[in-house]
Amino acid sequence: MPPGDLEDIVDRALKQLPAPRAPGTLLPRVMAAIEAGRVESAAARAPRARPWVTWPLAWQVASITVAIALGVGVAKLWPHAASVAALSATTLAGDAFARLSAIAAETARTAATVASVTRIVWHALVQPFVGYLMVLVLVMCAACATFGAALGRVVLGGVPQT
Amino acid sequence: MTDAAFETFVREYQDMVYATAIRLLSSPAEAEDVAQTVFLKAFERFDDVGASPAAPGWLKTVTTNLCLNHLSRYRSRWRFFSELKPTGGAVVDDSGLRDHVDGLLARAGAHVTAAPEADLDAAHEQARLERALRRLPDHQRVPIVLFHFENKSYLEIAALLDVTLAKVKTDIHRGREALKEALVSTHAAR
Repeated sequence: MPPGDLEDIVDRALKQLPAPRAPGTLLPRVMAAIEAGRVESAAARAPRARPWVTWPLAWQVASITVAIALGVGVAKLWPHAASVAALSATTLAGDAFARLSAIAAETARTAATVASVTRIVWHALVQPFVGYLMVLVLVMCAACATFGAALGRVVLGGVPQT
Repeated sequence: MTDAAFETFVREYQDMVYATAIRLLSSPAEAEDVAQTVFLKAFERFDDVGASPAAPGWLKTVTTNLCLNHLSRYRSRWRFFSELKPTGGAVVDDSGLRDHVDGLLARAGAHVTAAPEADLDAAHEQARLERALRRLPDHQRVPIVLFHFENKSYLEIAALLDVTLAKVKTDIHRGREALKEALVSTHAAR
């Protein structure tokens, strides 16, 4: 049979085939996926709405640091709270401004102390391990990249994954 | 954009997208996955695509590209892990095909006219041809579908599949020969 005839015969037969219909599950799947995507993107926009354990590492470290600083600050400032309360009752007195200035100075000194404590904790407990941590991360990244490249070459025969 | 508008859009084009995907992939599950991905992409660009007269063409192009990507990427991985012999034979999921064939026969039965046997024969022939098409190996079925259903030229197919023009012509010719056998055996069985 000449190729042209074969092409015509097959073309006619194929064109007469009724198109397969989409399954009834397709539309609900698409709409559910869209809804899931909305929820996911909303969660991604507001990381603080997620559980703490799912926060990015930088956020977790920052939150711990802030919590420690707040705790130390509250502990240091607590003795002064009573005097501030008493002072607030006599704010209208003549020497109120001088007292407030003194308390502000005391608060500044306390804040400086908290900062010093935080810096010491950082230098003593965290900083010594940062170098090792970075080396570990780099080694793990290199191992993963090597393994991925080898797997791609063996399994996929070099098919690009883009 | 409202969800109702997009739902109407999906209802309008889901058969077209699915038909393209199932014929290229010959697997109902994979075709449904690809169709879902196509509509998610359409959702992202619905303001541009939704009311456009080019929507059907855009959907077909995206579907075709995703199917070819799927074939080249995932099937090789699946074959490796399942230790399937790499003969290039198509992996046919007969469950969806059976449903489609049953549908063809049911439709023929529902439209019984003056010549009910002729209707049933035609349905049987279509079912056999559909089955033969889905059982072709990927490298024959895909160019045949692109040529006969998507109206691509040999050159366009060669570019899409990244193979030579000669290979496209050879594969299509061999695929047509296999389909012709299915047609001939149907006529011989009558």
